[in-house]
Amino acid sequence: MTIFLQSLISGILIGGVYALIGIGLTIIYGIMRVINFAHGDLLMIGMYLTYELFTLLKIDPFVSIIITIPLMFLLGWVLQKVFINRVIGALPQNQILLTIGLGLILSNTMMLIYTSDYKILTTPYSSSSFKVLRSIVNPDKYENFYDKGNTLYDKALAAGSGEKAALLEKAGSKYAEALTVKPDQFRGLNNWGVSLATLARLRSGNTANLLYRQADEKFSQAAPLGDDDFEIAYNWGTALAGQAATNTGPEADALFAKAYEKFKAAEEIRPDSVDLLNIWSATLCGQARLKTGAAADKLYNDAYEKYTAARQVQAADNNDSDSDGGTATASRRSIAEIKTTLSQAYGNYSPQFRMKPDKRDAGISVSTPLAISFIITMALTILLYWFLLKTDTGQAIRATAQDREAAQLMGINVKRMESIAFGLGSALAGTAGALISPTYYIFPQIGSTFTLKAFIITVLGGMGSVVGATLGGIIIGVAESMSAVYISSGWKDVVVFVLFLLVLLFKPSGLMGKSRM
Amino acid sequence: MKRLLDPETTTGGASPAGVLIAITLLVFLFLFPRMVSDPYTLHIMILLFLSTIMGQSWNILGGYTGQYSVGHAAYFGTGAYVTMMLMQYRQVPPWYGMWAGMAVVVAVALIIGSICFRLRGPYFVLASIAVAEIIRLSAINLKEITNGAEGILITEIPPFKLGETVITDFLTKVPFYYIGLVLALLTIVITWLVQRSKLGYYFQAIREDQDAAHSLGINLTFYKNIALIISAMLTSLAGSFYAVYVGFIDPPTVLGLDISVEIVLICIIGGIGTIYGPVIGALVLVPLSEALRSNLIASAIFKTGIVSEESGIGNFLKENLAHAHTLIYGILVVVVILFMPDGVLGFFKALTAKKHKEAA
Amino acid sequence: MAILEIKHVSKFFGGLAANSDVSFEMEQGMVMGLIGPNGAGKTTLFNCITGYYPPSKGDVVFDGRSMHGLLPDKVCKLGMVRTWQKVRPLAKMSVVDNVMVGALCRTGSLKKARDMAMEQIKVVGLGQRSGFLAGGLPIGERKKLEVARVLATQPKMLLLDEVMGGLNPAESEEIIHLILTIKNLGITQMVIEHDMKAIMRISDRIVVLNSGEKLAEGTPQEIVGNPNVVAAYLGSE
Repeated sequence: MTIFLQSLISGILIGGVYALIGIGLTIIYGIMRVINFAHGDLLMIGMYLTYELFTLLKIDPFVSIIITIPLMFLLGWVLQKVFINRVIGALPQNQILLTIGLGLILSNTMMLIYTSDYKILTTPYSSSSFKVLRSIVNPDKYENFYDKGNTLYDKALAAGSGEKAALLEKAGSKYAEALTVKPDQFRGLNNWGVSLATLARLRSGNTANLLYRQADEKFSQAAPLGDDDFEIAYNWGTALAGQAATNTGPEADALFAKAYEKFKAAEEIRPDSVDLLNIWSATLCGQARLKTGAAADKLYNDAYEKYTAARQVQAADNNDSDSDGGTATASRRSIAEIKTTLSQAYGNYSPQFRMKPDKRDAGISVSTPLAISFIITMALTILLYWFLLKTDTGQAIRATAQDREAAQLMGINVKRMESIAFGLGSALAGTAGALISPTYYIFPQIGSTFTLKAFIITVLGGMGSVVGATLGGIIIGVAESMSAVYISSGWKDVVVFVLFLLVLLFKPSGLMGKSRM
Repeated sequence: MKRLLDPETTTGGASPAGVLIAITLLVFLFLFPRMVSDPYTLHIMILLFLSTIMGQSWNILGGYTGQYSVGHAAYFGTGAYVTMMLMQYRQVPPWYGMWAGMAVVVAVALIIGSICFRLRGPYFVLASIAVAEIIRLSAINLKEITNGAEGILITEIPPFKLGETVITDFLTKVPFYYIGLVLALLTIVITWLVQRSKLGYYFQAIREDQDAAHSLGINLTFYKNIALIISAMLTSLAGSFYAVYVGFIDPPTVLGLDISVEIVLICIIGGIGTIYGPVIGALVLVPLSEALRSNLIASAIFKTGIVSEESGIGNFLKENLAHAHTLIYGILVVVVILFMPDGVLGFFKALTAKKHKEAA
Repeated sequence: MAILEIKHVSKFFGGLAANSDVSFEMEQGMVMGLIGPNGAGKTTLFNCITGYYPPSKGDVVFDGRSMHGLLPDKVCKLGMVRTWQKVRPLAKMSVVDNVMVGALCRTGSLKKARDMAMEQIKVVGLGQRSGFLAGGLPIGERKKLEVARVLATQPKMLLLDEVMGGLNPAESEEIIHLILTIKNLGITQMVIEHDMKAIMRISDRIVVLNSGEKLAEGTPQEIVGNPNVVAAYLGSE
């Protein structure tokens, strides 16, 4: 559910920017019946403008649209007057080729000036994010108990051995109360399990076993709710390993094997966690101690493999690959050596459980720059609607789009409307470029991707329909982010193109078919 | 091109002088590698042949039938990929692989045709782009089959033998020259044959007015697909030839949108719907882009003394003109569309016609 | 036996009925006039008959065969072909090439097609123009070209959509003669026309459409005397 909401929201946010691109294209098409293949390249120019304003004049990208919009409008106006104007009413293929040619000129001129290197516009908030929808994921009453449980658990960890057990029991009861309010919260279940398992470590014999079993139950409830949650799998495995250590014989062996499965699941989610690799290695050592001969050797070898993997991840994290350069060749050590290394490493190893952090981490993560750009997009779209519906020029534009000849008869200066439309389209594309410049790489060839997206959006919404383009943009944004999550990021564009073809074939007039602007 | 001749001369064969010129030109082209052995000159000639094949193949669908595909990279790339994959992973020599490539391309074309031919005008253009993009993205993503974005590099081409005699081992550019020449002539002859058959009439009728053509008994879907298949097969040949000649392919170089645009450009610049168009287009585009790439133009500018080689502008030109050939393409398209919508050939014809009129 | 039977043909666009429940028959060799005010559904009926739109209801039977589900190219092969209200010359092809496209419907040989085309070009009186580009012809000659092109398909029946529209009286007169010549060849014709005098002269029978429905059918004399027809025309003016 969280993942679904997450991709839905990021899809809608980027969809807002797509809508802006699509609206620009659709206005141009509506007025001139020209499909602008240079649209993405106009967006690219907007990105470079923003980049220069930011690096030279230190103007924030979101503020700089005040400068970008008029400049891009002017560029569009000039392009229309000099080039596009001459092919209005010509064969559609000639119009398409002309705009393709203009696009090539724009992108290659930028390449001569800036080379084809990727530029990055880094603002302080470029990679920051915030959380929303906490209340949906964590209703208040539940959250209250959950927070108390978390506080008690933290206290318990810091407390001396005398108080520890009592605090852990109290924490457990808070989680229990939280879960009666809302039974399907994996964070609460996880933390409850963690507090039970921590308590079990303080006990021994049957009491410990019982507590471990209760923890096991909590984790098994949490796991399916948590959608491939790393912490749950990690904690569950760690608890099982702890339980195995208090048992002997075949029971211990079975528990070790079960722990192994959980670690494997956790590894699939996050293969480069040092903690996971360490506890996994230690667990394998524990299991090896139960066995003799080849079976034991194999487990020791496996454990050593995890051990070296952990060291490698650490080395990579510290960014110096030399510190443990010997590990790769060291894999052929004798079992005796391995045993010594491992027992040194894990002799006193007491793995930490992982609490699900407090409520601040709950909810859906939203990228700050995308959120700001979405707000600006929406404001601009509303402004545009107002312009088209309420102002004289806007109404003249709509009249021209509906019936060019009638508009001309009514005394509307159609030529002027065309220049305005192309200027407007260009300004919208440039603004979209400005808005995404903090989150995208900037390079001269980026345009064609967006040109294709713009077509898909406008065809989806219905050529010439502003409402349709707005909708189409959001749909494409969501389709992209959903298919990136549920299919794969490599195929997400294919999904969008297939969607496009399906619309062309089965609903060629688009979602908002007949209505224009 | 206004034809004001009477029908007998429009159908009649070429004039004796024309035949003579054509034969001389052919003999010259076949003897060329004996006179010139400079690999770079041969390279340029091979590129000329390749561009002619690409342009002429598109011409059948775009120029004669009026179906402006901006997705021909799909056929070029598919032909190239099938040939290369068979050669690299299955040890199938390219002169068999290219037929396999063609067969696959026909299948692809039929699928594309069934989607795109339901659409007209700009929608057809957009759909043709979308399909080509799907194929390009698939080539990137299907790593197990295509080696993904890394592309395929061939290490060696097996020697071509007839029985036990080695015809060629592909060590020089000469065999490629002859293959390119023969393929280019083949596409020209095929286009010529199409133009002088019922197919040619039907294709042009579809280009001029689909509804009128339909009412006169022309099965639109059938004839559009025929045009597409001929066009796609020849484009696939060009792709296979390119791949083997260069020895390396990856998704952007054989399946990219640029390739589709370049194919259309060759035709537009020369003049669409004519046999000479793509040849002229190739003669304009190839030398131009090569001159830019090899900095011939920059050195020519320095020689005239307008710009000194050591000056700032000189340095800029030296470093950048080599990358400017796509920019020049862009400028060419804009100029051609705005000022010579019938291509270079049509432009000069109109110009000479005007002069004749003034003289008369 | 009737060569063409229109049986209860209706055509809806969205909720609007462009034709509703139109029925009539045509005999071999006759000229049928199809008249009615603008927007009466005349061209829509042509489109339904020749396969451009499938009728929403009803059927068209031509030469004893239902046209249901047939596309225009198949309809043409069966011997029924139409011209266009707004002429559609194949502009960048010569006059003879235009007519050859029609002739190629019956033969695969270019030579035969050319001979057939030249014959029809002479019939319509464009003999001097055969090498000209179709796009460069004046309107009167374009109309004739349309007729030559459909004649070259060797039809049993022609549907002519306002072949006299936009022509001067002398040109119209030529077309009237042409229609009568075609009639003498034994080819059945259905003619949409606005010029009442002309339609009265050429038609054996007339069908009047109004708001998509058949208002009247009869000989020219009957139609002239029909008060409903007069009302419809006066009402629409």
